[in-house]
Amino acid sequence: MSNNISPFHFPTLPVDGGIGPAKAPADKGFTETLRSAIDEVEQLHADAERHVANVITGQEQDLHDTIIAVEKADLSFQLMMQVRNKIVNAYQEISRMQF
Amino acid sequence: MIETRMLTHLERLLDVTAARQRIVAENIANVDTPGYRTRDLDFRAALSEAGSLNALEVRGLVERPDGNNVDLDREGLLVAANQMQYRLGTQLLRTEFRRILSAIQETR
Amino acid sequence: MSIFNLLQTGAAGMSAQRRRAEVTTANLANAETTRTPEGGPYRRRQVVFEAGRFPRMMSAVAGVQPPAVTIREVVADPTPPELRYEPGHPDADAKGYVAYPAINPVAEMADLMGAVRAYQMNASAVQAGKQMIQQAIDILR
Repeated sequence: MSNNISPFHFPTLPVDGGIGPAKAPADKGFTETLRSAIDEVEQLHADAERHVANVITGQEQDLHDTIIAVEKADLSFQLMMQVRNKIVNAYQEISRMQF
Repeated sequence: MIETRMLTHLERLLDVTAARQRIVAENIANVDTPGYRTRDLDFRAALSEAGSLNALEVRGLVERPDGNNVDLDREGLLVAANQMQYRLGTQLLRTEFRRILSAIQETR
Repeated sequence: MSIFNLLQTGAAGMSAQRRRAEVTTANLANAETTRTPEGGPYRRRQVVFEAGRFPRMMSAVAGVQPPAVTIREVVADPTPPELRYEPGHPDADAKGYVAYPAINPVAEMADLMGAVRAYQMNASAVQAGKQMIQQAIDILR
């Protein structure tokens, strides 16, 4: 499929800095955005695993660091799923448009 | 990135509060150790981004003949205060995570 | 250091204070003991606290932190015994004096109360640590 479909907005919170895949402004293509979202997920997941391993070996600084890492990994996964779902929906709409 | 200013502040608050509680516990454990001096964090400084979590000696405490200056009243108050602060931090953190989640899931 | 260290610190404090209470109680119980297996009256004993070192019989283990506080040793009070004139007493010496431990029950009682209070404060620290762990877990609730 071609890439000239106008991209959609990512959820951002007005007051604070935005949430969303790092370095993927709204005018990049879908695949770029999804790619950064996936990278994010992998990185945060690896972080969370490392923290959990540290808790088990007793090297963890503080338990809350682990909890926060786990939660961030989970949220980035949710974000990625949202991105994926929107892309899938967009493609489905487009394929419906074909004659 | 899953990161907001609020998250960063709260993470730091929890780190500092936990570090302070550890130091207070050491003070309490050493209330009868000859020559032991009470330690604490410079709390306000520690909260800033580059603040240090190193413990410093506390000034102005009464010293007993064996050189120990741990005041159980002071340490007891700090245990309670730190505990409440930590609880506040974790509750705010939970709220912030929920907020982020609903922003992510908001459909258009 | 981990947040679990908080619990270990409190536990070490509780241990040390408990030992202090034991020794003080033994002093109280033996305030009038004129005869011991080693000979002579009971000698008052007291504990010596020490910060941050492994106890003597234990060698340092790599990566393990020493306990926040330990009882380094239990020492005997060098104060000479109290002599009281009681000629009829089975432990009286040739001149009719009996040697009693140099123990002041009031002072020992105060020491014991101090140990109890310090023990409770350490227990509060442990309790606070447990609550903080639970609260961290609750972030995910």
